[in-house]
Amino acid sequence: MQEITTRADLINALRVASELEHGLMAQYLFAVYSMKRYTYEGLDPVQLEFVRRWSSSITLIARQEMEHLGLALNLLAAIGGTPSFTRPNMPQRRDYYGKAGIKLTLTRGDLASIKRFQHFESPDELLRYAEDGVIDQKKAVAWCRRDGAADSRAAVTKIVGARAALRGKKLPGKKKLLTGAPVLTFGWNSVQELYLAIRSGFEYLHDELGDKKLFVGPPSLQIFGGPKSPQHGSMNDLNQYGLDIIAITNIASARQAITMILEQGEGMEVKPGYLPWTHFCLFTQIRGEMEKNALGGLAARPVVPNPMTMLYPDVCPDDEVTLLRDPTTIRVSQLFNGSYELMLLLLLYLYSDNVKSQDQVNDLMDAAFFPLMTMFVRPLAEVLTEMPAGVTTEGGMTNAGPGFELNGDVLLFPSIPAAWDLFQERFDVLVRGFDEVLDNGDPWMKQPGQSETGFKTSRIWRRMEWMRSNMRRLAEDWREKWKNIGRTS
Amino acid sequence: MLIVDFEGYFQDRMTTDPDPTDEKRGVSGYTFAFAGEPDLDNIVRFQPDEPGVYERDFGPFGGPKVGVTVRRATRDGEDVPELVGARVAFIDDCEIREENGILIRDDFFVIDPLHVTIAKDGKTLLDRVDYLDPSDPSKPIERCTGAELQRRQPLGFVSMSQEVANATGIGLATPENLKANRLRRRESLEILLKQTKDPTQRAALESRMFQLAIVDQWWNLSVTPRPIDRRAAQLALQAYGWNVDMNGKVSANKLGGDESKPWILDFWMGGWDGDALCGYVKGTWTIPTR
Repeated sequence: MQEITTRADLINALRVASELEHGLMAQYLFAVYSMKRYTYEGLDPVQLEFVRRWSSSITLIARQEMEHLGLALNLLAAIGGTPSFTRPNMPQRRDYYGKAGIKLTLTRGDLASIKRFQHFESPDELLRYAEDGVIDQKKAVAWCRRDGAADSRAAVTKIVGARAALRGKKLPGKKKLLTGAPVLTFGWNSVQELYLAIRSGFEYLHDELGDKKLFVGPPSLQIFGGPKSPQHGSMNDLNQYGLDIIAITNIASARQAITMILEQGEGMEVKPGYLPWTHFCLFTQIRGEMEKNALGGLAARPVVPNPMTMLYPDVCPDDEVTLLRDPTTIRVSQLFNGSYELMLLLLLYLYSDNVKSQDQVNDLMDAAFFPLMTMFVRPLAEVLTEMPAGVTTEGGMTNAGPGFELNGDVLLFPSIPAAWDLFQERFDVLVRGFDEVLDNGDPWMKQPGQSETGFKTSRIWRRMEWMRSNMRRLAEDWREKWKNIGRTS
Repeated sequence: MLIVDFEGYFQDRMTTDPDPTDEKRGVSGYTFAFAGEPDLDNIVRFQPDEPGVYERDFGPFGGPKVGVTVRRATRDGEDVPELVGARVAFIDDCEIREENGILIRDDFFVIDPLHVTIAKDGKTLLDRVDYLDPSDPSKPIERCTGAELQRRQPLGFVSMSQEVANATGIGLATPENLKANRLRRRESLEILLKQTKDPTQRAALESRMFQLAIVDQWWNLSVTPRPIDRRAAQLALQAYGWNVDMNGKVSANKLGGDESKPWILDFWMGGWDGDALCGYVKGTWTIPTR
């Protein structure tokens, strides 16, 4: 395990963790948005009920990856790092994250994807038995059932095993503080090991510096929910949707954050009764149910892998990218990517040290959290999985999907006084994008019912019209400083 | 002055955030269209025989029954007993809308469209519509100003409302009692499941039981004791203070209402049962008479 003994190391490791959480979240969301929802898609009601339950579980996991991303960014901000939403486009080679074997690729919600996700979230103990990146399902099921046999936290901890590294033991042969090269390579064998290293790094630096010198970033540059949050009681208090994001102000809260990430993901040091809710056990359950009900290939729409509007220079290998060919689908993809990037930009400003009033903080949250995430990014992604890619890939995949494309780093606007106007331009561009698709889209999309190739045009059209209306209202709300939002208290 | 008091359970097969508001089956919120059930549609329905009402089976312990009726009526202070039991309805596909922060925020739902009727023995006695913008009755809600929306919003919320608990008969408005209520419903469904052979119905029941078992915020690893989950808390949450001076066209007026004046509709909604997809409404329609 690569040790962390300097603030620079810790900042770099947390940036890697943020990037990784962001990448996992995008993969989970891609898979879940591809899953079937309606009886006209060839599943009977009972099969659809299974798929709906899996969709709920994977969405929950993805939301908790957002929580982990938020916690990693809070940890970063707390020690003087710069929060970032930068991540590579997909796909990437399996060794992009070294021996951790985390393959970044966007694939539909079939059995192969679920197996890959199960591997991402696996406790180290089970990784040892994995073959070709596939976890031993029998061992996984046994692991997840251990919780039922334990009736106390102590008993569960005993079952999980002695994990000295988890408890922040001092590192032998430690380096002199604030020396050493920053992390340039991924030196951990798993996500679990990365977070264990981060936790040890916090402990080490805290021993050397103490709370005051280590935690130099104010909580005002963090996003968190709960009773101590300025957003408590509003819809922007995120700690009411399956999340538990805390502010990092000292070593105790840092420990708590990292423990939560490990508890929710791999099920490390988990509290009694919680094991079935961990990401690893949820994926284990989904895999078991998919295999038992022979739904591994049927649960998802025929969505092509890594659907992109263009070939980005950072992807590798190129031949795993599916370049979209249908012109209308490309326009909708661009709308998705524009909404996604705007959401990230708004979030980045929440973390930034730029001077902003409480009203502006509220503006950012009021636009990013609910409207953009739930009313545009998700529905656009879902619509894309019902649209033609314009190309057929191996296995007869014909549908598009959300590429989560990023044109390089997500960066703050350099001119701070103009930032709000620049955001306005982004909203207005999105309105024009919807107009372009709906007013000048290809004829196939305007036909009621179903296109010649079987796509449900009326349904796609209705959702796009609904989103256009909402985007017009949102753009006007930003321009008019929310004066038409109605009563809010 | 005619004063009509009404109350009862309504149904709203509504989506819950963070699902988008046009979600049809339910994924990330806590309301769902389960196996074999029609899609979620967000429409408020006051009467059990309205098209689109889908009442679930609650098992031996029972559950809410849709039906909003007049409980008392007075004209100039004198009781009007013949109105008791009349059916009250919000028609024209009424919705309580939020659009996840685009129209309004923080569950200060705006009710739209608003078209109220009272009927008895198959005859419509009162029927009036309200316009968000009387100068432009066809204006869609998406183009309305904040002031226009506020007329149709509640004033605020009461958590653990004993008034709601009394109305729905669930006992004390305490977290313990609300959680026990959900677990008792789950127990009832468990009995029902044992008697159910149809695989589609069984799949739906299993999903409902899973949801009813969530009475604490299990994800709150850092909070002790864990807060009550919204599936339970909503049972005693009250959105109060809807007060609409209904201003639009009158299509039935068999009780002598003065059509030149607004008819004041005042009500609260609460006691939301996410398993039944039902809530409770209680209000008063105050109608100046000629």
